[in-house]
Amino acid sequence: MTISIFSSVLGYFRAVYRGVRSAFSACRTTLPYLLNVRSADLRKEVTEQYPDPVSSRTPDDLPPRTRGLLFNDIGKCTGCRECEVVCPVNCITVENETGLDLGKTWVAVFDIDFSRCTFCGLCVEVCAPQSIVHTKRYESAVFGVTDLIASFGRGRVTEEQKRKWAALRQSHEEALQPGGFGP
Amino acid sequence: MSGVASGWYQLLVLPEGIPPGLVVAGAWILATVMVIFPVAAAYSYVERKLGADYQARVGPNRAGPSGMFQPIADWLKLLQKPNQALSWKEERWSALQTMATYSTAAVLPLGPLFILADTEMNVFIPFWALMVAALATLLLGMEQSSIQGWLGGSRVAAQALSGAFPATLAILCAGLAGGGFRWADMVASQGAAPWSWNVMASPFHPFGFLAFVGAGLVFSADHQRDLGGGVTSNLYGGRLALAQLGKFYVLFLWSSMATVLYLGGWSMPAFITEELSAADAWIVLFGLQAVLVLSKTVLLMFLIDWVARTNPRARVEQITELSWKFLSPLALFSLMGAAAWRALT
Repeated sequence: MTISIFSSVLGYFRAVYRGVRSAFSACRTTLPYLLNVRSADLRKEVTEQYPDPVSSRTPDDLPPRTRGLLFNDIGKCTGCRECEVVCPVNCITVENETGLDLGKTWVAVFDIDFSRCTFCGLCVEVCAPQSIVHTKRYESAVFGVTDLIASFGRGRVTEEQKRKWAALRQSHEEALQPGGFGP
Repeated sequence: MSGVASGWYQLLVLPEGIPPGLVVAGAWILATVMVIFPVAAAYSYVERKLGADYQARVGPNRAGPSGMFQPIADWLKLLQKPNQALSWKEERWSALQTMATYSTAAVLPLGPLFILADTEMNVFIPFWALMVAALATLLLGMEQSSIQGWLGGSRVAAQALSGAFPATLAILCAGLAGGGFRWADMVASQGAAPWSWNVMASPFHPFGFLAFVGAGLVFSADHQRDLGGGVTSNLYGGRLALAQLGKFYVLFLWSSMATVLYLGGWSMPAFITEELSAADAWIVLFGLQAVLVLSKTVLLMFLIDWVARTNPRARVEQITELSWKFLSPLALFSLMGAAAWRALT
């Protein structure tokens, strides 16, 4: 099946007409924005001012659900690793160790790598004890990439500390033994 | 002394002994510092504000009242950066690109005061120089040994090649009505009123004008900063500033060429010219002419910018396809039509 010259020439002019029409109808759409005669729903310009002295806005003026830099309250954190699992960019590192109390994990390492964080907020949503939250801090410029890692962990347990805690636990268990001098 | 910088001889009372080369060099520097830099600064601010308007943004708003000092701030920031060290291979192409681009300032058609070289083929000089600049950009990109450089260089060369064909035809089309390729001849053949401009010389000339402006868009499509990538992505500091100024300058040059070729240039009503030259008020006359051609040029640039901002981020194959498949036939059609019109009427 061949396409006739006539129809291909016609197709060319049709394509030209379509191109010109689409370019200029687009231009007609943007013209009201320039002349400020747009309708009310489009009137709002959506540039948010940066909060600093020039714009006389403060971090308090930020919306309540602002996703700023993350903060983890290690006192509440249970080290359940839900945030580490859910993080789409793997920017959270959690390492747990045995602490004094065997019923509670000792969160030795809790690092958030802000060079990888996308501020998606998933970790905040899954956090059962609500220890990890978004702050309203937004300025995080540093001189080295490694400075972007925020550490919230309690620190690793030294061997000496482990021995001390084991001894403490043992004395506590002995105290709880029937026949001991406990309650 | 005829032609070359003759305006300056009339304007300033220069002693006899000064060689014309010095006058030309001084005038060149004056033209760059007094015309191109301020126009570039003012244009970049207004262009960013209007571009923001089209896209429902605020645009520059922090440096000074409603961001007026943004161009100054940008330039200060760029000049603070350390100077970029290029290899000598990159250096030579970079130098060739810069020299080819700015050599066109000698024939920048901004009135008799600013035309420093007056030859029979003035209209074609910027065109050839831009082709040389595109070739130098291609070679610079090849030397950069990065994907952005290779692709960006090839893109610039492909765009320049595709834009060259319709641009040549459109220049010839204007020359048919102008009767010569000196800027002065081109302007002298047109009157002050819009219906005596070249664009109205025949029913076919408007299409030639469209093709010329479109070819300019094809040449300078790289001036869109938000396109990203390209040869400039490997430059920073003063070199980036120079490259950005160069892209603005090409658009400016092309618009001023379109103004003089098709939109009457600096031609004013005869009685004004006669009165002023009779009264020996050269500075007023030259100033008025420069302001006239500058304002036409800037208006045309804003029109181009309106289309470019509304239809942003054209890909290279879209641009070349537009040029080869639409602008070239259009320019050919207008040239043939204009020639037939001239032969028959």
